[in-house]
Amino acid sequence: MTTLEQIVTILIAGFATVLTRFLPFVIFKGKKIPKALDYLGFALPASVFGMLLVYCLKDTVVTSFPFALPEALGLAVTSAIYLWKKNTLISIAAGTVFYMFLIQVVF
Amino acid sequence: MNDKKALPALKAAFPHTLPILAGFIVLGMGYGIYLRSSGLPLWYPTLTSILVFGGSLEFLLVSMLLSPFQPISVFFTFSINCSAEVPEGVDEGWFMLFVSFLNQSYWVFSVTLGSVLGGALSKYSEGVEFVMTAMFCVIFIRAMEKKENRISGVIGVMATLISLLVFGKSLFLIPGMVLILILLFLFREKIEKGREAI
Repeated sequence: MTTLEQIVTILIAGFATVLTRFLPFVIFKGKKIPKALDYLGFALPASVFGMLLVYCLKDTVVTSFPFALPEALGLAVTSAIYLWKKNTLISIAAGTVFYMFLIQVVF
Repeated sequence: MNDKKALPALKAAFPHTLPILAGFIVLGMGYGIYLRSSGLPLWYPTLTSILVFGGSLEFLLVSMLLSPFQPISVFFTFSINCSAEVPEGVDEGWFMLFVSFLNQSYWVFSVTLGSVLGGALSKYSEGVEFVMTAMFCVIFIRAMEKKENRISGVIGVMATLISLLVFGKSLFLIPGMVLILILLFLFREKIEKGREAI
């Protein structure tokens, strides 16, 4: 990407973010939200989180060494610490540091 | 401008933003360090955190900035995020303004801090991008802890995986989103039942 394309990308992302924050207030001001949209508002977030998790792992190489092992172990540690301590930030920090240790020192 | 309404609203808003401050320091610094370790210039993190206050989704922008230019994909990805809560008491307008303002200030501050540190620490920062994966992993688990979210969560993972296998990693996002929408409407009855049971 050229610098200009990068700046345009940042601006599009900014515009889309602002647009989605304001559009609902403009369109549905004083009106009832359609049922289908209300349903999406309920069901979509969990799907999007799943999508983003897969997106994060899109560059993981499964077919050659280290066979996605650092990613799998990093996710396992993150999940285990979250389920154990129920603390979002501690589990993210611990999982990240563990993953960095794995790819810098072990693999 | 009405000072009599603004100051109490600021005072009321501040405590509400403190937990956000703690979270943003960790994630914002991670984001800043990540951006810098990706080889992007010093001012990028600060600029994106000012213009695209999308929280977790900002992380996605990093990998998008490092891949070929895809304006449509960027637009759709950043338009799916939304959230709004209406608080009570004090002056609502000022209150919400200050909550947003304080939160964004923390975010810009943490990101800039991470960006500056990231330049110095770049030798040791290999793998720091996993902070994004770990973050979405925890967010996903938290959503899955609620029974009523499970079907849609599984749909999100499966649809994206299928799309990734079919379309490859540079094109899969939009087809994945379309597939998610189709599946969500196919399973609507089941998911609505789970919702009513809350």
